[in-house]
Amino acid sequence: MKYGRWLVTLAPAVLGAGLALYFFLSFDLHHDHIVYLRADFGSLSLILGLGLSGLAALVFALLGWSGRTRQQVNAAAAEERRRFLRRLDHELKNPLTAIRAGLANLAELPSGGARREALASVETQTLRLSRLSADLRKLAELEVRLVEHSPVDVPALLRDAFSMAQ
Amino acid sequence: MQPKPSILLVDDESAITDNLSPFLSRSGFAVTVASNGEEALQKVATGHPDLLVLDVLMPRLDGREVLRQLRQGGNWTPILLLTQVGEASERAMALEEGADDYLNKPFDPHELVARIRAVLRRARPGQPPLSAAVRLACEKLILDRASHRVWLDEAELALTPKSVMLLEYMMTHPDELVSRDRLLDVVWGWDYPVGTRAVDTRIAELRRALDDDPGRPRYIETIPGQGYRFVGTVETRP
Repeated sequence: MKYGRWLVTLAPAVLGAGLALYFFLSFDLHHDHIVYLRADFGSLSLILGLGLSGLAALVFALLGWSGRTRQQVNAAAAEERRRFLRRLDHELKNPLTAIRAGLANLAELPSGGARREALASVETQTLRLSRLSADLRKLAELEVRLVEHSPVDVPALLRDAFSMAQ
Repeated sequence: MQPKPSILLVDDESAITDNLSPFLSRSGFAVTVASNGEEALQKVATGHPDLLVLDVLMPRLDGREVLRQLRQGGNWTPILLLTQVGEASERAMALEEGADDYLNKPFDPHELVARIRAVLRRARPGQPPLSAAVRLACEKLILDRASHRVWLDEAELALTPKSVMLLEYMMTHPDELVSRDRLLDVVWGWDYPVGTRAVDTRIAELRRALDDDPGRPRYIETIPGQGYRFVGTVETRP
């Protein structure tokens, strides 16, 4: 898609150059293959008018096409962002809900096993939120940091990722 | 002694069910837990709980689909949705699909217990809740929820859309103390930058239109320092 516009723009020039080369090589020795075009003013203006209209239509079609492509890219990015925010919302609200319920339990339970359980649960959820905020910071850094280019051993990277996931 | 009302708590997040379930048990309910929509449908079929507390975002079968399947199958077990969405319109849709009420995460567990009690008190066994009815009536006041139109004494009232939404929530929650914050959340959404004064303004508009005397209310009663209550008897109309 990226090179489509160049292809459409250059195709007539390349075709013309190819034909010119062909005629040059084939008819170099004979100079009687010249084509003369004659037209009255009426027909000439009609042909020129039609040609210019065709050109304008082509230009507008190409502009519209590139505009639509840009819109599609923007819409996809906006959707991606919405999905991310929805996911983030979910990831934040669940531990917070659990913490609020855990705190309500802590306020009411006498000391003992159940109270210790509620406390442990609240701690786990706060750790989860801390991890989430650290991940968000990393994400923010990734967006502004310059991209480094360096050779990567892909199989080793995949092995690492696999062992981490296990 | 009356048996404890049974509640099916449905959430895929074990941290939430682990903490909420003992809290609800201490509040006087018999609690069972399901971790996804499919399990919830099975447990509704076998256990016939009195009420479902249903999370919306879940794997396999989400809460909204569980709600739809139950209502399409003619099951009107009261359902309280635990929503994640912030949009007031999305929440209104949840109510239209047949949920009895909803609560936004993260919520105060005491608020959940208050809502469960209110829903159980309102519930009419085997019948659709007021929140699923298209037309509601209270004496000479009629509200059509599909077209958002209101009539008093057969004359149509010109109300702002926010006032209609407010009246709708009050009429679907009759005899329930509704706080200003709750109304603000329901009608404007939690992130809307207006204060609770906006609620009072709309209530005043409704009272004027309904010719309701705050001193001797037929419809909306003010509970000083707490909120409002719809005091009329609400019934469904075909």
